[in-house]
Amino acid sequence: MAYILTLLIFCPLAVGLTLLFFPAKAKRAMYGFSLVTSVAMFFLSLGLLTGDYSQGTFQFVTMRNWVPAFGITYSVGVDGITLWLVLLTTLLLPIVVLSSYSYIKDRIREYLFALFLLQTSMIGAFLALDLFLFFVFWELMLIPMYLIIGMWGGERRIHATVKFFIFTMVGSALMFVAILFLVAQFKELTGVTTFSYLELRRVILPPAMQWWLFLAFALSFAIKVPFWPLHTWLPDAHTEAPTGGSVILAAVLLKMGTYGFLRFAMPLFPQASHELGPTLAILAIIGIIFGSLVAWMQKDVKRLVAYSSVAHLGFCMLGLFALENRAMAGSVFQMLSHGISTGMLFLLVGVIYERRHTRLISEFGGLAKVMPAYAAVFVIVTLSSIGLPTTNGFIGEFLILWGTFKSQVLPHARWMATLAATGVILGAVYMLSVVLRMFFGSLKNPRNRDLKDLSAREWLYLLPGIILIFAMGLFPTPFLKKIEPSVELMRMDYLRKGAASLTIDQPVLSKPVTWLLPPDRRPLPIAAKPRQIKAGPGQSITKLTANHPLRKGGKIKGYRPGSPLPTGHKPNLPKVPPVMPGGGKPAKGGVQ
Amino acid sequence: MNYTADTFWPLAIILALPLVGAILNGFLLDWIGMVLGERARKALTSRPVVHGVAIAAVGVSFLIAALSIFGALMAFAKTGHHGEHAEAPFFVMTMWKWIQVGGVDLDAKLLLDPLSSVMILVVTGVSSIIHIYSTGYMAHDPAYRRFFTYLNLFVFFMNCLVLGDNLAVMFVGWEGVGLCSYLLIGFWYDDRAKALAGKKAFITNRVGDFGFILGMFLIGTLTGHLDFAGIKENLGALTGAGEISILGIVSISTITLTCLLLFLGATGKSAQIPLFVWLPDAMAGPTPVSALIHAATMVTAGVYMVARLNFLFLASPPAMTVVAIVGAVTAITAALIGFAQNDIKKVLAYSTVSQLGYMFLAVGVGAYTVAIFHLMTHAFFKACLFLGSGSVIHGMHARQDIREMGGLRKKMPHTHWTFAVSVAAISGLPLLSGFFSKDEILWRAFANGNDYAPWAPNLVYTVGLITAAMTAFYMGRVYFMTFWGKFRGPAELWDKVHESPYSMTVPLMVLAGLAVVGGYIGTPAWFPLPNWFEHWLHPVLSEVHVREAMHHNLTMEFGLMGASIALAFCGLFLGYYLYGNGPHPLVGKVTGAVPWLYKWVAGKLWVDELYGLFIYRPLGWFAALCHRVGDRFLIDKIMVEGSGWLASSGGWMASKLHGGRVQRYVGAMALGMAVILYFVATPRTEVEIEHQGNNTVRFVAPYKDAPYSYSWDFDGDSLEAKGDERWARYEQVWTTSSSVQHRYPGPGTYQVVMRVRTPWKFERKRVIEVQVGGPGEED
Repeated sequence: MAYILTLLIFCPLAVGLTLLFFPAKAKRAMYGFSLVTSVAMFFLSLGLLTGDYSQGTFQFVTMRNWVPAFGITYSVGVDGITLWLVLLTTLLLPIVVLSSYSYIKDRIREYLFALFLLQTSMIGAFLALDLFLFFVFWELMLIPMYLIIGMWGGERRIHATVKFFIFTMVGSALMFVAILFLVAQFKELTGVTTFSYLELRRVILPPAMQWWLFLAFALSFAIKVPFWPLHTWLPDAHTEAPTGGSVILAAVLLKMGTYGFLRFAMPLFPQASHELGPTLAILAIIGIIFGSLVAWMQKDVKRLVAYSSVAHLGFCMLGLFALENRAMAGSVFQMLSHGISTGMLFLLVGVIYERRHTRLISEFGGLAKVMPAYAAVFVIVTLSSIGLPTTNGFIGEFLILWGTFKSQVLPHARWMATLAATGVILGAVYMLSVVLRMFFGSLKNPRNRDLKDLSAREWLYLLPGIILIFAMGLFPTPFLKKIEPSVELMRMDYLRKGAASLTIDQPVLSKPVTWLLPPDRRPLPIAAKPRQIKAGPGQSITKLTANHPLRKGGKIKGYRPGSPLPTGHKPNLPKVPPVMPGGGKPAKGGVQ
Repeated sequence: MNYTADTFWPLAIILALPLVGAILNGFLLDWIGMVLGERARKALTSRPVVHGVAIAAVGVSFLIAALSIFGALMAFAKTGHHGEHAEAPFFVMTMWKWIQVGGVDLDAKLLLDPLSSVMILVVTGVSSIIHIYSTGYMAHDPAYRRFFTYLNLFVFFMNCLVLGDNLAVMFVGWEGVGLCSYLLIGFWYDDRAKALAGKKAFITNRVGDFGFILGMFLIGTLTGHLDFAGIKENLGALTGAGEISILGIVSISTITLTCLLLFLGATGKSAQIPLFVWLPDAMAGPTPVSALIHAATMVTAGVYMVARLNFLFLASPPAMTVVAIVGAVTAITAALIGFAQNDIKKVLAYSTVSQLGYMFLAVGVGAYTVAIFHLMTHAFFKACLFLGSGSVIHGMHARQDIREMGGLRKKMPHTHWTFAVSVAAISGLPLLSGFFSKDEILWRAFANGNDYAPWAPNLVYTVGLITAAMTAFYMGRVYFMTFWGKFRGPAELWDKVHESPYSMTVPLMVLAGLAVVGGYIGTPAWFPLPNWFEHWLHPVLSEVHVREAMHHNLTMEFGLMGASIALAFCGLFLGYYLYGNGPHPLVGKVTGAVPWLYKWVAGKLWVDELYGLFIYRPLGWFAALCHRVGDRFLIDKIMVEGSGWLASSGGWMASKLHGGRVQRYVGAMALGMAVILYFVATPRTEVEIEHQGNNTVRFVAPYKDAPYSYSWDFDGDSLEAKGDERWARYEQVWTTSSSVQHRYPGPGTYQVVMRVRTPWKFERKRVIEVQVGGPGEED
């Protein structure tokens, strides 16, 4: 059980490598092998549910040295947030393998290898607790995706891959610089080089420094989300990708962006994300409305679904920046439901594409007559996508909108929620339009007359999604119960660190972040270098924050970033005396 | 109390049975059949099985509800319903914790109290009757199974709406019935227009739901509760929440805003102004659907919601007034449009909108019991009317235009008399159900006080009274046009016109019977029977009380009643006079006199066109703008491809330098050499000035290693130095030292002329002003 995470990360790679030894013609054998192993890995991942997520700590933590010279470790762990994202990832693989059976005609072995490599990198990125490890998996994700789109994609696949690749690289290059900067700061404070997430989370940077680093991280994640206006790679990539690629792209890869915000950008640079939060929330709302309107105008059903993703992920981002626990938990929940409903929409588009080799909505019409089961499934997924109660889509949107409505940190929170709620109307407008144009009306196009309804194989890979749509809609509490503690832990730390960063003008180190680990797995704390004096004489940073005007009675009360406090705020420190005649030194102040 | 229970299982069964029916008919029986073989599959999906399952699901649900309520009634009667403080009997059933996260604590919980018990009986009862009717009406439809699946699903969601113990569960039903309405309006989806009507209904409802959900957030955020009991307990948090400014234009109290937002939801679901446009189009669905969803049950959800939250609305007199006025205006507007419709179902649709307006009028004046009472009686007679129209359409082979009908009473006697009874009931003829409920609404509209807007009661009463006369007239019109006079359709059709089968006429008779006797459980005070209905609902519905002056004022009550009865008879008589024997020539004259007015009314006041012109189309244009200009051009072309173009064109230019042509390399080299030479050949004249104190200034030229020689004129007098020979010895003398120092005689501004020379005699001169001494200098 202790190695379950490592198994989950590297089993797909092993399976992928094994696949390379199969003869190129052995299609059935390869698919059978892939299917069996991916289902087995899904069941293995269910083992994660045995962890204790009630405290929000990381479970199944493994820490090993990897490149000790640079403080790079192999550290992995799973908490209430990544638990579901990993389960979503492992659930999707068998579905994608099944759906590819008839879609991928050539170089099957390579395709499957790319899928499994992608799986390794995605799970690795979710589970990594080391920034270098995370970055490696983050970049590794690009390669198989690049190949999947570029080799098995549609006509304009090269254009789409180049766009996808360049967009993503621009962001990650800056992110890596920011990671190195952070590591350098940690080294300056402690004399230790480490990329460990848990250690680096201790660094509290002054707000001005946080801004630049946050922007570097945020750009990378925002492109991945994709955040308006950095979204234009997505419709192209989706349209050109093969069905399996689209499904993984929509269901998991986009979540990397929102996950990155939640795991890295926000907790590492809380003050900056607090100050930029309202702006990003407004961009998210623009994304919701703009994405919905543009989706409505699409002629290609796959592009339409892609733009609907822009709108849905706008909800996720809004929920994160509302910084209200129900909204943040709702946001994580929405990531899952979007993964399922949009993943299914792409599967469904793939089903019709395999039959007609077109995705133009105008080519269809009246399909409900010839493919009633297909139409029924499509309508169910549509309902989930537009957030009808009893489906999963409702829970996420409801919690996000409600949390935004009562958010303490967003200015004009009620108006923001109201504007975002118009997205609920617009969602119905574009999704029902496409249902109307594809399935209702008379069957005019003669080429649609003899279409076959869903086959058994198609039912098999659609059924889990349908069940989950209703299961998550009717019984969301088991999911939310596991998500909430982790999110809440992050939120409290975020507020604490945000408040602390206001009182400093140079980086300081907080106490070891041991509360993120279960008691028996806590590492030895790295101490701050004794000569590093960053606070005033005789004052520890904890004392500073305790006396800070924002804190009353040990609790942060009415802490509202975005209010005038942060901008131009001078740290409320006693002046450190200048160097005294005779080489006098300031008194020693222990920095905790 | 022995009649309250925390875990009352039958509630879950009432709720779930229709869902089970929908699942069985929807796919499960089919799948089981697939496993068992082709013959079993055929048997399991045959019509008797389908409607057997569907009717059993709804019927048993009705029976369980009736038994539970009967038990509660007995207990209620025993423990005394006397006095003001009678406690409401109720059953609750917590099924599971639905959403529990971060302060949200929503249970999937059901509540059966007097209010929901009335509703559940109406819903499941009328549904059962309409299910039975549908077996006849839909007998020849190929999608028989799908129809009953949707119908059962609808009943499930409606039960959910009615039984929900909190706003969120109610919202599940609220949106769910909207979904079923969408599916059933577009039931014959081959016809694009019908599918479009379904979509329109759904989207219009979503606009209302937008208001509902925001109202829910306001309530939940301020009171911390979404369950009705919790909201009621913490109402103070809403009433005391102060004013909310909307964009700085208007300021509105929080409670009023909450009520208005919820009412926006109600206008969507219950087809009131401004969101009534979807209901007439909804007639595209099969007629039983129109009867069940668009007349008897779903569209009354808004009234039910307002009644359920009566304590909330009572706390906001402005919102109550708005509700009453919107109800009254909708009632009269819809009645007016009903005058000029020729499609039998369209007339009934507008009549429904109008009657719903009555109900909102009633809740708006604070007469909740009466509103629910009218909701119930309306469910009986309007369902009967719709089913009657369905029977007519069935008999007329899918013709719906009343201008093509006439004299049908000879061919369809059962349909005729049930229709006649219902027309009499809706027109308010004495001693029928509609009479009791509608008259009570009018009386309460007149008699109830309104401290916020004292003019409102008279206004809504007058509008209500006029509408009553109009209702009698247009209902008379549709009745006489259909059943009296001569047949106006094609002659060969007359022989084919037939009475509907018993599966259809028996439900009609049941409903007609209810339309007659349904009113006697809620008779007014002067009537010899007790008002059971009010006794039953009294514990859960607070009321606005009748004004002091009107209390027990029988003279006034009878006077008003007389007026409305007289107007009803006048309306019906006018209907008979103008349409009793085919349209009277007078009709053509009147409509011909003001053709624009007639067109305007017949064209539904062009509200659809206005919405299209001002909302839907601009939204489309805006979307196109976002798509073409915003997304494709500005973001994708300019920003994304633009940055790519910039990079690639930079690369292109750079690549041109590396073309392999020696001449270019030489040229570039020459260019580079020239630049370097220029810098080397021209002497640099930068200088740093350092104040040394004691009026001494040091000049440092930074290019220490350059082979330059310098000459200085420290005081700008072009003369040899005087004074301190030690420091002034470089003045006007060429030297290779890059730094010199000069002591000035005293503070002041001096001009320094610096000359720099290269070995090959290029020379540059620079004049510098130096401030010596003064405040900036520390001595």
